[in-house]
Amino acid sequence: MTQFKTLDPILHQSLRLAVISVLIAVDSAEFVYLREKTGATAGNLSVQIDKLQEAAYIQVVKDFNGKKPRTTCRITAVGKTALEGYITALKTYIHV
Amino acid sequence: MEKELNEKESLAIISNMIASTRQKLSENSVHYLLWGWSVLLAATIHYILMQFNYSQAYLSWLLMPVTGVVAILFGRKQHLTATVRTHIDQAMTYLWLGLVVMILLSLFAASQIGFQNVYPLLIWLYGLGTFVSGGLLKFRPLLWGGVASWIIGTFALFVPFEQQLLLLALSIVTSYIIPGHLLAASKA
Repeated sequence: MTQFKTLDPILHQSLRLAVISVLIAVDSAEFVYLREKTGATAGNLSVQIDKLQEAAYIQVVKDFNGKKPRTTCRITAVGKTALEGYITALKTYIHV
Repeated sequence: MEKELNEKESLAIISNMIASTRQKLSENSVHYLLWGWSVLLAATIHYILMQFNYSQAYLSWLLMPVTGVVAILFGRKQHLTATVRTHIDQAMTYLWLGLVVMILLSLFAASQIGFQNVYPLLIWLYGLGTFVSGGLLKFRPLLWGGVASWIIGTFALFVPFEQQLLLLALSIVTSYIIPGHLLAASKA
């Protein structure tokens, strides 16, 4: 019988999974870019970014671009390992 | 309450999001065109002034610091308005910074060993820049442009300085101007 692995609850949520997937493909991305790619509302996105940051999956830097506040996100080594683990676990469910 | 994700949906999110980060290639064309046209102009003016036996024909290269300032201002603006930084952006920055250092070192060497001996090297370096960029962007005209510059640079080893200037201009056309315009026109 196939051994099903537990899916990481932090990543097993559509918006958080979307954010981490964008971040694995780029060096760093701003909040505006993540909102554009995921189509999420600012409020929801900001809550999920906080959760990813609490889990140390991403690193968040807040600064200013001129006078505009800017939030830049970057995936951490922990986040990369977590996403790899999540994908490996997914494979046990869909037999690939 | 949000509905539970199933495995197929999870995989679809991962692959769609990764695919969505693909950059528009055409945004990269500005620098090739800016440098391409200004180096072509400087080399052509240098060559024409030499035909009139003007002793300070090389002064045409004073255009380069001007282009440098324009490129820096433009690059700064691009950097400030960009909301994402890709791995390719990162690699391109280091490639071109490295090349600028190599070109400046070669110009310094030219003051010791003569421009005649350094021009082929400069042409090869131009070729290296577009070859690697072409590989990173997966854009063939840049790759071929780079190869063309290596061939042209090799010919430049065997001709006098005046003709090297023309070969330099030719290499700029094949490795910067033509691929730069093709890149600008590409919809990818």
